[in-house]
Amino acid sequence: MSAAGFAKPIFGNPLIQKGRRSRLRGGQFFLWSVVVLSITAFLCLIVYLTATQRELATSSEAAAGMIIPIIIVQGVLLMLLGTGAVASGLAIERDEGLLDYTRMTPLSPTSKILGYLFGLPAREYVLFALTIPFLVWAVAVSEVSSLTILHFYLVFFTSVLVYHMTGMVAGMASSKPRLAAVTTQGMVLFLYLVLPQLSHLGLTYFEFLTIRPTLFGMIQAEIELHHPRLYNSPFANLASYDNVPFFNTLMHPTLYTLIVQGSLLVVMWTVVYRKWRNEFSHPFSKVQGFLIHAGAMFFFLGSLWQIFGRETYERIFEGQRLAILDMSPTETMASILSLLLATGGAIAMLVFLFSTPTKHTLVKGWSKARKLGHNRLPFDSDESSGSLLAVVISFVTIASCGLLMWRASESGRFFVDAGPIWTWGLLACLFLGISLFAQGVLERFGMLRFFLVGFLAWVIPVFATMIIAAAWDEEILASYVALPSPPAAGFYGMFNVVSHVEPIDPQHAFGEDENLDGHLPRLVFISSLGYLAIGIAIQTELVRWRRRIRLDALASDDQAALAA
Amino acid sequence: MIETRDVRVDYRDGAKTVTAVSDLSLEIGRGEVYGLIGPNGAGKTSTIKVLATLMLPTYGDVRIDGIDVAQDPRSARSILGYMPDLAPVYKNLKCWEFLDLYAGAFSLPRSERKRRVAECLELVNLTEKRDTMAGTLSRGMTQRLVLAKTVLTDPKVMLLDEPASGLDPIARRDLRDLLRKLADRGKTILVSSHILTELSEFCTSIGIMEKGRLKLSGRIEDIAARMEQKRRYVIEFLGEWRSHVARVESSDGVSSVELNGRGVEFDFGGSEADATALLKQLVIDGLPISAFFERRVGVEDILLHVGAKEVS
Repeated sequence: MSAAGFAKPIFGNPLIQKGRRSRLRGGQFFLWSVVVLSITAFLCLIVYLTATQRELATSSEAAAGMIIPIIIVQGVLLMLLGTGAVASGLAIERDEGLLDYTRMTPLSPTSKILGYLFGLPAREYVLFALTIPFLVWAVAVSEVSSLTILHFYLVFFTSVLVYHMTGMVAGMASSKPRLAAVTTQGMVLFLYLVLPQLSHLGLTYFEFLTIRPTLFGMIQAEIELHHPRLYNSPFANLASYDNVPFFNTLMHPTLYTLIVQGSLLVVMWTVVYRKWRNEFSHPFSKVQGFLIHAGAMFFFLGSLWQIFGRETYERIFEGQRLAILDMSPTETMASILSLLLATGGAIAMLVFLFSTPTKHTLVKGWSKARKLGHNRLPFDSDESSGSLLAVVISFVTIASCGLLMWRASESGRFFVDAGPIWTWGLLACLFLGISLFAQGVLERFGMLRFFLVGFLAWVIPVFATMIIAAAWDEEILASYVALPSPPAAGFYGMFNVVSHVEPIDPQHAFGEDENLDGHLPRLVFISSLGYLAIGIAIQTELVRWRRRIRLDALASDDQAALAA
Repeated sequence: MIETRDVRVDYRDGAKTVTAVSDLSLEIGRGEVYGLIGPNGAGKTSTIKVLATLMLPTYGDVRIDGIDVAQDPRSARSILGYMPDLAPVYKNLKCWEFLDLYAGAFSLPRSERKRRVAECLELVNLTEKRDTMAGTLSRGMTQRLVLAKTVLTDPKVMLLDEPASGLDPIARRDLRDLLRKLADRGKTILVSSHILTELSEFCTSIGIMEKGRLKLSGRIEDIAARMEQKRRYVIEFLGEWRSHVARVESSDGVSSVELNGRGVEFDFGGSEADATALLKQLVIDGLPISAFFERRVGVEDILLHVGAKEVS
């Protein structure tokens, strides 16, 4: 697409103009402007004057100290408030029926997406612009490189787009404006406060969904470079801006950020595009669901690849990050693999939630198929069963874990081999059983019952385990009680694999504690075979139920034809 | 202009799948004003949403001016105007800004937009509210503003879902006049309503829906012709008239006589010339006739004939 062709949906986009007219009008906008200007001015003055008057810093040092607080204000404006504005604005339009007007216009889906993406947060963009003079002054006086600042804003705006697209997805899925806004704002906070913790176990992917590395790594380092006295700033050491290990390469952090956020942007775009084309379609198709899961596993593998290799062992394992966990490399390996398994499982659940057909979809699908004279539902249609997807996703997840284990044994540093095949077989059975069970319950009984089963069977055992462990210190009993919970079962399964691998350093072999006095294999046998049996049972019931739905749909059509 | 074949629409109601529209096949010709009548829940809104490309049918073909709306919704949208039930507006936009938004979205040239917006505001008598915020308009004015949006791009086909719902009698009359004006301009209009009187005066064709099915569809004259085995005439008298009823009843070709307050209504089996002869004879016989005319079959008659009694 030419530059002009790409610019067309943005410049002169009526939806952006609508956002400008409706959100930059009157008292509310004036009030927000006064509030933002006051807060930014207050922050700048307090940082600058405290530094110059009390700490006797130079004007240049004081100005440098202003930069990160200003950026945080900008982040709150665009990332929190802007995301909320997109989510609630779209949900309101959907609820009131205004979105139908937009659907009815001959604007392309791209123009509609861009129109809402930049139109709904128009106020937040202008409020952001009001803070720019403060930043320009701080950068000019502090002598911090303008190029570094521009470099930072490239990442900043990519993140903003990702979050706003998330808001758009929430707004198009929910007709409750407040819920949509709070959900996406909560997600942004979760992204900043919780997920980055996973990067300490090697999943750097999550850290780079935020601007933390660029802000607290690159900008802070640039400030310290010019003003070493600011090394003790509260923002120092919050994140690093080192090259990111990705498979066998080290990737520039900005490039990595853009790839990570770009991939998420593509996923969001796909969802919103599908929703614009057909409001009632699933957020993504089965094939797209598979690609999303496989893509995520690819990124996770890339992040963990070097940790499981020889070269970067010292740097990563014995560096600041993992030393605090006080675990042997073998235990850390098992923990990381468990984490990968859990993350893969969590993404699988999301994919199931967004791509599994409801009874209604199924009935519609069969009515249509009958009308068209088809004997089966199209493979990648919304109404086709998600069972195959559950099998494929299970395979991808276990293969990813296996690949990492193979990598660890290949490096010749940690393990002699990748573990006995039966341990991997049990782990595969466990994951497959859980996937088939979850997907089956969701498709057969609907979302409400899926969550109810999830809570009763998966969360309650964990609570019971914690009570038993806390009150009686019965570790073995607690382990058996925890078994129905997939995270616990997955954890045992993964530890069972690692406990049967012979480490190169005998000191790193699993002790009795990790083996639960020899109960670990038994726990894994019970959970794997149990879940596999339940998974197969629910899938059998699902097949029977789908057949019944098909016959009912055909019969009701016949009755309708007779009535006509 | 509008053609649907075997359209079925299902929607989800809690755990149940409900069929909103079942095997709907209809044809609406160019320039017709088609009234889609049916009680609430008959499937009118679902039908309009499918035609408006806002909902994909479970199955079936829908063509607007030859365009398959499932295959090429963008082309279909460029010739469609749609006004939903209880039409919403952007409360934070002025009336002209609201129209300007859609003028832009339909790619009206910038130079033309101002003129077109002014014309449409004039058409719906909202010129003086040009700079008023849309959120402060009354229900009737809001309906008119949305109607202005609907005609803004001069669409070939207009889909109006319950356009008079929530309007007071005066606003309803204004809306009816406006729709008549648009019909005179040759637009193909599909208008749905569950209130019979809204449609009876200006529709050229009607469709009656009940429980998702189209019970009857076609031009009013054609349906009437099918219904009319005999012509129905009305005679009104001056002064006391009840004593003349027996004379009318005894005339040749007269049957099914009913009293209507000022005279009688009856079926007449003869031709127009026979009716003229009857009138002449009654006048000669000294009956004080003030009016003698043939009563055309209306939408209400058709409904009664079809038996769609749920329609008010």
